[in-house]
Amino acid sequence: MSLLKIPVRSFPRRKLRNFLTAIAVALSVSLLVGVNLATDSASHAFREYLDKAWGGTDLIVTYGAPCSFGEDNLTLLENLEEVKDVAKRLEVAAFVNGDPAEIIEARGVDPSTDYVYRGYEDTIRGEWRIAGENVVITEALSENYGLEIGDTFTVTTRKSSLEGGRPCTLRVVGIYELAEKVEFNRLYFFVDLDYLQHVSDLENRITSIHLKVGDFEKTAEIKETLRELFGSEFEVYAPKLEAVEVMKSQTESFRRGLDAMVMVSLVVCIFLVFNTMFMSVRERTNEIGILRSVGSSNFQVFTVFFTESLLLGGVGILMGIFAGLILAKVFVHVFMGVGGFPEIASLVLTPEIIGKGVLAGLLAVLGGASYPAMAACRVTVDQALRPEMRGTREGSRVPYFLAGVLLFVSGSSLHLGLLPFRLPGVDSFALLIGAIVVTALLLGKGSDSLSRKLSGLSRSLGMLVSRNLGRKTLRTAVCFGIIGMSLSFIVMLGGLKAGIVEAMEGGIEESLGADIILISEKNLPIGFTENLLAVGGVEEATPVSIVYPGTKCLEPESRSLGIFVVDPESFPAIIRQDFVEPEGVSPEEVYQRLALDNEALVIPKHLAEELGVHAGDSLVLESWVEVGGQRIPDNTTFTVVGVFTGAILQHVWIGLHPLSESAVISFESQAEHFYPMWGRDRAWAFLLNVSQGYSPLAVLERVSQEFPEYGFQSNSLTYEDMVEFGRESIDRVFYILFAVLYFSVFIGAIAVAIVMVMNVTERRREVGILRSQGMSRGQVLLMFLGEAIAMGLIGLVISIACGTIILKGTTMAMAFDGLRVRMILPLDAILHASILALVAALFGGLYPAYRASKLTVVESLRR
Amino acid sequence: MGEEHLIARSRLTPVVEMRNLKKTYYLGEVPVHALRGVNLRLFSGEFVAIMGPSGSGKTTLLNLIGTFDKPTSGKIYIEGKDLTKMGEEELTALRRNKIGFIFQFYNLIPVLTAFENVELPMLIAGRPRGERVKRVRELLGLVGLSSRSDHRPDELSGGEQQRVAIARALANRPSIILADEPTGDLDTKTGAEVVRALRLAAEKENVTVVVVTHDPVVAQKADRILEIRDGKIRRERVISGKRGKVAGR
Repeated sequence: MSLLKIPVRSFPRRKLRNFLTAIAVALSVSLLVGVNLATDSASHAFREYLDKAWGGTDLIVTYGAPCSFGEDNLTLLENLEEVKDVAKRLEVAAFVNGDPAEIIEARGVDPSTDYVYRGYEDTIRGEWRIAGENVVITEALSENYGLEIGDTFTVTTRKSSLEGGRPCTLRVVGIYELAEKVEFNRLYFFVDLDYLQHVSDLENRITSIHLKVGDFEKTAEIKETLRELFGSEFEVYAPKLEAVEVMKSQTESFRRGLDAMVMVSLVVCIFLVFNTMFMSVRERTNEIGILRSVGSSNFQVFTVFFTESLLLGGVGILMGIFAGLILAKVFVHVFMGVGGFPEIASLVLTPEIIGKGVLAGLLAVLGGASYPAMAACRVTVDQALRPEMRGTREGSRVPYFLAGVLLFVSGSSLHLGLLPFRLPGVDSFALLIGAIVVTALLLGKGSDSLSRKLSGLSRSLGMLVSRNLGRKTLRTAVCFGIIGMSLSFIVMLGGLKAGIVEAMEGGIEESLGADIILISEKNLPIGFTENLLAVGGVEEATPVSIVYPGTKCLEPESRSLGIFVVDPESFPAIIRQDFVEPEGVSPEEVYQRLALDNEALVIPKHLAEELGVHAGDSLVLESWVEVGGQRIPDNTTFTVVGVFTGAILQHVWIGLHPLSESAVISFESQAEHFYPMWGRDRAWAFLLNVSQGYSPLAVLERVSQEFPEYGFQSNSLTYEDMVEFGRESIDRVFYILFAVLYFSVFIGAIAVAIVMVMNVTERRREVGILRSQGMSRGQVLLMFLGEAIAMGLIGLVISIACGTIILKGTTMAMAFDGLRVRMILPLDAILHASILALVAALFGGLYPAYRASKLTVVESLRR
Repeated sequence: MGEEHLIARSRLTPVVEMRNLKKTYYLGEVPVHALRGVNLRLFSGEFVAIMGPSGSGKTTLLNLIGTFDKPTSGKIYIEGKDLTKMGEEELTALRRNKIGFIFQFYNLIPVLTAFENVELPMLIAGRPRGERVKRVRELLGLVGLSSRSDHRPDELSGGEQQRVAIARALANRPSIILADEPTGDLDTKTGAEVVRALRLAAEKENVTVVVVTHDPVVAQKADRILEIRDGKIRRERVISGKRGKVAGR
C-alpha cells in the first residue's frame, strides 16, 4: 500500500474544514487570475481602441505649421525598411461661407496613396474617390449643415473672410461615417491634397506625415531614426506608443495598489492554510505515532501531510481559475467606467495568467503547509502515543514577545522612514505580524482580565469567552491576525482615499483658477464679455484664446510652443498667478507690461526652466507679418516679462500643450504677430468668476439659458464638474481596491469559521457540561458567537493601530514621490472596518455556534 | 430507617417519580430497549445508589431524571411536574435550578479555576455577585478545598476535582444530585473520601442524591440500593446503619 493513500483518504474526512480552506485558496487564486485577466484584457482593448482612433498610424512628423518637408526626406522615409506606409497630409482651418464663427477643418489627402484614407473606403457612403472640388464630408458635418451627397457648400480656407480669403465651392460626393466616435473634432472634410494646397496658397506644403511601421514594438526605435533624419525643427510623435505609455504611467499606481491588495489576500491565505494544517497535525498526533511506530521515516510523515496540503491546493487552484474568469468580468464591468474606458469584448485566459494562478495557489499552500508538515515529522513515537509525554509545561514566551515587539518596531520604523533604508511591502507585513504576535501573547497571559470587559453581556459568557480566547493562542491569533491584516489595509485605503479626494479638490481649485471655463460651440468676439457680465451671478469675466495649434520657438531652443492669448486688463482679476520673476512684482504690473508691449510675453516656470530663460531674456518665435495686404511667415523676438508658478489651467490643453505650460500673450500681440485663426479679437473661451452666494453650476445654467445658441452647457467646465468627475474616478479605483480587500476579509471569515468548527468539535464535552449546569441553547450559541466576535474585535483593534501607521507611512512615501496627500484620520474607514469585522465574525461564527447550540447533552457527554 | 422508613416515605410527596418509564434507542435499524417500564419514587434527602451491569440502563435512567433525554413512553415527575410535557426552555430552567450533576471524569471547565467552576451554575442562573461569592466559599469549605480555590483543574488531583464537581453540583441549592460513577476514576481511598464528602454535603443541604455505581463500597453508603438489569429495577435494598432490608420487585 502506498503511504499516499493516507492523505487521499484523510482529505474527505474533515469535509467542512477542508472545503472552507480550499475555498480560501480558490479566493486568492481567483483574485490574482481575475485582476490579471481584467488588466491584460483592458490593455489589449486599449490597444484596439488606439488602432481604431489612429488607424494604422504609428508615427506622425509635423513642423508646427504648413511647410515643405523636403523631397529628399520623403524619399528617404519611403525607403526606410521598417516603415510600411507613408501618407502626406495638409490640415487647415476652413470657414463655412467665410463666417469666422463657423470653423471646420479641411484635410488634404492623396486618395491614391494615403493608407489612412484608403482604410475608410468601407465607411464612406457614396463615392470615396476625391478630386478637385469633389470632397467627402463627415456625418457630423452633414448633420450640422444639412449637407447630402450632391450638395455644394462654400468655404474660405487659409485666411479669415475679414482678410479677403479666397472662397471656394465644394461638392459633396461621399459621407464618411465614423466607425468609432473617438475623434474630438468631428466637423471636417477630406479634399484632394493638390487642390487644397492650391486654394490655400500652400503649394508643396503639408502639415504632417503619417507613418505605419511594420512592427509596433519597434516604434520607439524608428521614432529616434526619424528625429535624426528630420532634425530638431520637426517634431516626431508616436501617438499610440505615447498613449500606451501614458496609460501605463497613469494606471501604474492603481496596478501597484491592486498587486499589493492581492498580496494581502495571498498572505492571509497562507496564514489560513497554516492554521488548518497545524490543527490537522495536532489532531492526528496519535496517527503520526502509529505511523512512526510501524517504521515510517520523518520524510514519509512529512510527505503524508504535505500531500494532503497539495490536494487542498489542487482543488482550490482549479476552483480559483474558474472563479477568476467570473471575477474578471466583474472587474471589467467596473473598469469600463474609469475615464471612459473602451468596451472590452472578450477575456482571454492566457497560459501565463493560468501559470500565475497556479503559482499563487501553490505558494499559498506550500507556504502555509511547510511548517505544520515539518512539525508533524518532529513528533516522537512516545509523544504521539502517550499524551502525558507531550509535556504540558510551555517554554518561556518572553523571546517570542520580544521578537514580536522587535518586528513591530522595526516594521513601523521602516514604514515611517525612520531608518535610512526602506523595504516597501515587507515593512507593512512586518509591523502587522509583530502586532499580531504581541497581541496573541498578551491575550494568552491576560485573558482573565479581559473577562471583566466582556462581562457586559453576561457574566458567565464573558468569563468563558475570555478564557477560551486565551486557550488556543496560536489558532486564535491566526484568526484575528487575518482579520486584522485585511482590515488594516481597509483603514489605510480609507484614509488614503480621503486624503486623495482632499488633495484632488484642492488641486482642481488651484489649477482651474476660475469658477467656470465657458466654452462655446462657436467662437465669439471678445466684446461678448460685456454680455456675460450682464448675467446675474457673473462677478468677473475675461476672454481667452489660443494660437492654434501653437507655434514654433526658434531660439533659444527649437521646439513647438503653446500660446495662450489673454486680455491683460481683466485676466489677472480672475486668474491669480504667482510671479517668481522679476522678484517682488505683482500680476497687475506684469500684465500692464503685456498690455503695453506687443512683443512681450509671460511664461510658466516649468517652461522657462526647459528653455533656460529668465525674466528679461528673449525668445524668437515663428510668426506672421503683413506685407502689402498679405500675411507671410516671419520671425519675431519676444521678451519674457514675467515667470509664474502654479498649476493654473493645467486641465485645459491646446493641441499638445496644456495652458499651464504655454506662453501668455495679449490679444493685441496675437493680432499683430500671429495668424488669427478665428479672426481678429475673437475669443475661444471665457473665464468666469461667480458672485458670492452663487453656485457656478447655477450660473452656468443661467448663462446657457440666456445664450442657448452657443452650446455653453455641454462644453463648459466648472469646479463642481471637475471635482465630481475626479471623485467618481477616485471612487471607482478605490471600489476595486476595496473589493479586492473584501476577499481577504472573506478569507478571514472563513478562518474564523474553520477555527470555530474546530473549537466546537473539540469542546463538545464542555458544551455538554455547560448544558448540564443549566446553560440554555441560546447561551451556548452566544458563547461561541462571542468568541468569534471577540476575535473580530481584536482584529479590528490591531487594524486601527496598524492601519493608521501604514497610512501615515504611505502618505509620507507619496509625499516623497512628489504627491502631497494629507493624512486624515479615517473615521469613515474605521467604521467601515468595524462593520466588516463584525460581519466577518458573525459570518464565520454563526454556523459553528448554531451547531454547538444544537448538541444534545447526552451526545456531548458521551464523547 | 428500615421498615419505618418505607412506611414513612410512602406518605411523603416524592421529589422524583417515574411511572412505567420506557426508553428505546435505535442502533441503525435495531431497536435497543434501554428501559422497559420503570416505576420509581425518590424522596427528599434520600441517598440512593443504582447498581447494575453495563448496558442495564443505569445511565439512561439517570439521563432521564437529569432531563438530558426524553422517555419513549411513561411519565416522569420532578417535584410533581411532568417532564414529558415540558419544553426545552422549561427543562433547561429545571436543570439549572433543581438538579446538580456529578460525572465520572469530573467534567470541570479546564479554563476556569475551582472557584469559578463552582460559581459557574450561579452565574448561568444570574445570581448576584455577593451571594455567589459567599456560596462558593461555603461550598468549597464544605468539600475541604478552601485553600485550592484559585487552582485550575489541571492543577488539582482527581479527588480534588471531583470534590469541586460536588460543590458545583450543590451551587444552586438543587433538590436532586445525580452522580454517574463519581468514584469510577479514583482509587479506593480517594473514592471513599469523595463519597463521604458527597454524603456530608447532601445531608447538610438536604438534597436527594442518586448515585450510579459499580462499587459495592460506595453503594453501602446509600440509604437505598436499586439493582437494575435489562432495563428494569429488579431489586431494592434499604440500608439502615448496618441493618438492611431487601424489598424484592
